[in-house]
Amino acid sequence: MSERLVSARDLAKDYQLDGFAIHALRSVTLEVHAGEFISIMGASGCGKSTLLHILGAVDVPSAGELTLFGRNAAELTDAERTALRLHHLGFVFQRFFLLPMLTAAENVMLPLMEAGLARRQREERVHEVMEYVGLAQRMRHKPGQLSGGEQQRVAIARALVNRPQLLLADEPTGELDEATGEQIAELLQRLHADGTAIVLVTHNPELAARATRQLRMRDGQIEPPMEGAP
Amino acid sequence: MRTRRFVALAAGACLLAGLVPPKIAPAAQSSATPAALPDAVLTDRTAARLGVAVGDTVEIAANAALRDAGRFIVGGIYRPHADPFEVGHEQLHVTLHLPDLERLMQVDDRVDRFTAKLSDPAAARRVADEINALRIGVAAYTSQQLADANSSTFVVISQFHKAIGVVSMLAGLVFLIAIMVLKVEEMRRVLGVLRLIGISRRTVLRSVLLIAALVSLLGSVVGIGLAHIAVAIINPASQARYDTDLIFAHITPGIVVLAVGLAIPMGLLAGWLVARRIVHGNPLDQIGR
Repeated sequence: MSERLVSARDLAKDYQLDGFAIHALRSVTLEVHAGEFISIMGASGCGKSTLLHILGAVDVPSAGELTLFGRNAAELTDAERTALRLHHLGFVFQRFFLLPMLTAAENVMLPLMEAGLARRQREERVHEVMEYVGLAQRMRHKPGQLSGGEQQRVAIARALVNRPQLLLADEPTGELDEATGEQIAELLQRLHADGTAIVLVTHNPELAARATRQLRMRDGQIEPPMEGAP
Repeated sequence: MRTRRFVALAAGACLLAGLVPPKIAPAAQSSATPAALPDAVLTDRTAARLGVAVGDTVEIAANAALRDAGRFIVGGIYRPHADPFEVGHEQLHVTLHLPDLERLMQVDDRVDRFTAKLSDPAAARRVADEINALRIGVAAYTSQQLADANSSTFVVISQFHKAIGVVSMLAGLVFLIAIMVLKVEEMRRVLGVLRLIGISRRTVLRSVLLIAALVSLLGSVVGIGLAHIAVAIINPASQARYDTDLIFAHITPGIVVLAVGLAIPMGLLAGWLVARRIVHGNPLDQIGR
């Protein structure tokens, strides 16, 4: 059995919205192992993004047990959760969230600067990861000079540059046309093949089908797998 | 060679001799040759006002009725040192030799005040003290002592300027906070992304403070530039308006250091007040989940 990266048991997430109690997650149990590729599908508002945020140490559950990379998430301070995101996790969002004033290379370099790598190491690592996503020739361009697909590849490069064990992707093709989305899907698949674990939230069944384990959520819960499903 | 008749206040002579101000009075054409007349020195403003030049003849009296006026030849015209007390006053100065002034004022052997210029100005205080210690009925003052005694108006004005400065700084701080609020709100999503990808609160806060410092520094540079433009307009305009060499506005290195030295801490304070709210918020809220 491969290394267990994330273990969630009976997770719940409740919050108040305009006086109403919202149960975003109910009794969610999930394990993510090294090298896995999990896709999560479901209708809007079913809790899949909330689950992703909790697995990514951005949000905290209201109840349940969560272990992130061998550590009890409930005991982590904000600084420790931040460090976890920096060193163990990579995030890719539907919107690319690149810093418009920086070049593609500088955007990718940000996590390395925070991690304290020397300049030469940073430059080597950025070049390596930009080459991996096929944008070695566009490193000096700013986000505004790149297409949507290229911006998403820069965002993926930024998520990968600290060599995370787990990549969390929230609708990474949601703002891209079909052909460009296909390129991103292939990139994710290549990443998985190279050993990075991925948890992917998507509405796109074709993209979800590329995962080694496909989950569906409804009303804050993970549905039991259908017979014959992977 | 012209002979002119005037009525004007000769305050310079009055100051020199400490006497009642004489008058430069109207007079009839004289038969005396200019070379035989005593000379008087006029300020350039006086000369311009009276329309005389060096070599011209003027008649000066010690009373408004212009009785017993004396005739003088204009021996020189000079530009007096600028004096803030005289700004806006239309005083016309004339300087006479002491015997001529005494004769004009019809008083003999009487001097209330005179100025002595020392070869070593640094010894002024000591010399004044030594004269005063003699107790011969003479009081000696240094120029600095007189300046201090007469500058109370300027002390008040200076305090007034400081008060305006404090109010301006407070207004500037509010303005800086407003700019930083707008700037940070504009960057809210960027800061949220930074937090999501694992950039620490400290780094994010430092980045915002750096931006605040740069905004303040830029504001200082722009402010100093505007001040220089204002000085370039105010000084010539005021000097022309009051016919003086006085410098009305002056930007010293000390003022520049003070402006930058206050602006940057104020900018940092404004940045910190705004940024601490952002960095302690949930990054998901900041990116607009």
